Amino acid sequence: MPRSVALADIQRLYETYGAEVRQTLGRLAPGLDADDLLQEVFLIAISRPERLRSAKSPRAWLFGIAVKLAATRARSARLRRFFGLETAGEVPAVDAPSRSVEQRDAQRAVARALESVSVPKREAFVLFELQGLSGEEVAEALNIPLKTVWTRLHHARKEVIQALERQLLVESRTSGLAREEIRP
Amino acid sequence: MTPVEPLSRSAQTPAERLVAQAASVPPRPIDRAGWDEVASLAALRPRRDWRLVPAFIAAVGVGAALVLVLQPSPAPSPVQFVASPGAKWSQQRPDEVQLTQGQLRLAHASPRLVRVVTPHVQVEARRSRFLAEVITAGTSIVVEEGEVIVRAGGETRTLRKGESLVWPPAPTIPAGLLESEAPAASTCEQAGPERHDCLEREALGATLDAQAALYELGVLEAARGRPDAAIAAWQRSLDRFPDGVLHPEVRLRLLVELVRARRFADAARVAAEFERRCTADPRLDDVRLLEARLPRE
Repeated sequence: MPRSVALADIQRLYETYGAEVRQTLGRLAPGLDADDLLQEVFLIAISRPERLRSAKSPRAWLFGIAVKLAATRARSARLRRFFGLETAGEVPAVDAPSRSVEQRDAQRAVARALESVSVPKREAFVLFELQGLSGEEVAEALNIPLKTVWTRLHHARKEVIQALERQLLVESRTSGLAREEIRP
Repeated sequence: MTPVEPLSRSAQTPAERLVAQAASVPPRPIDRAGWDEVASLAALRPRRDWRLVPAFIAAVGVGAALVLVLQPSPAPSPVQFVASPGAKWSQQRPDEVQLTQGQLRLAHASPRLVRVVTPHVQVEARRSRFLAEVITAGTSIVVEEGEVIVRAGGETRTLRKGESLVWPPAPTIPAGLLESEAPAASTCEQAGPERHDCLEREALGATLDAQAALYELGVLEAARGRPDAAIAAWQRSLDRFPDGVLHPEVRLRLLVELVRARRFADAARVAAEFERRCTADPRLDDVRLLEARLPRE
């Protein structure tokens, strides 16, 4: 594939899915600069135009790059923090400014719940439940069988819901409201 | 398997509704100028084509192998010649020596081609040790290690370790010339040094015994391995008794010894003298044959 054509294709991907990808990066690697990661995702994409051509779903392929990059960067960040090298930087907003308070609170609650879930399950959950990819797209992005996607998703849902229920329970005890009374 | 629905479409519990709410948060719109930044970064960043890594490794491997195979290692050591006292030689190039007199030895086997050129032969050697000596009317080659190629007069010979060659070779002496006999000096029957002294004393006379003594003195010196002394004794005999009764025998002995000593020019002179003075001698044909075989310098 000529490089100029690939660039045009990838530019279209950037314009179409860039916002989603950045939001996914923010969810998978909270605390890291999602803008920086997004740039890196597309630089990787530009360097591998032949993969784009062979991809069944360009969207899934792009999300696959993002998932791998987020995992790598999150691991590096943990190591840097362990050795005291990480300095907290400003984290850019990945969500639309128009989101409601309820949406913001729900985001935070889900993000906290996801912290207790293993990385493979978290990836499947974020892509399917939060970003709206189909099971097939998740399988392609993670390069795993569809059956594995459902298995991971099943366990991820269970763990996330339990974690959220614990959060709701704690909130109800501190607020004096019944769990059902607490929004949403 | 029934299709799995996202929680956002089937949320029932408060926890599930939290997930649905989180999923409904739209992303912040992308800034289109961000693409220009990505594109410019991509233009600056060298493209990493990992498929080239195996090719690069293979190229490095092939390169290393070629260096090992083709490297003329170790660097050729200087060619080391050892000349005998009195040897005359010159070296125009590092690997070629002109030898005109005396003995020259290649002391170390050199990986480079070495040439020794004498007035008679050209010797070529590689990884060999040899001895070259310019002798009377010829060159002697003795191979001590490896093998050498000797070129002379349009011929090429290969000599291996332990072999030797003298070029040009001495002519074959006809058998008839080796059978010359002369009467022994009757007065000197002692053995060893006393016999030599006796013959010297007897040779001072002017009789047939003196001629016989000089002839036998030459034979004795030749038998002792002193060809020069033998030649001198016979030459003395011819000077004193050029037409003596033993002069044909003396001339033949002198001729043979000169040929053996590779003094071919002197031998040719003696042969010519024999032909002139001994025209009726039955060995004249053999002398002519030998003279014809003598190398011309």
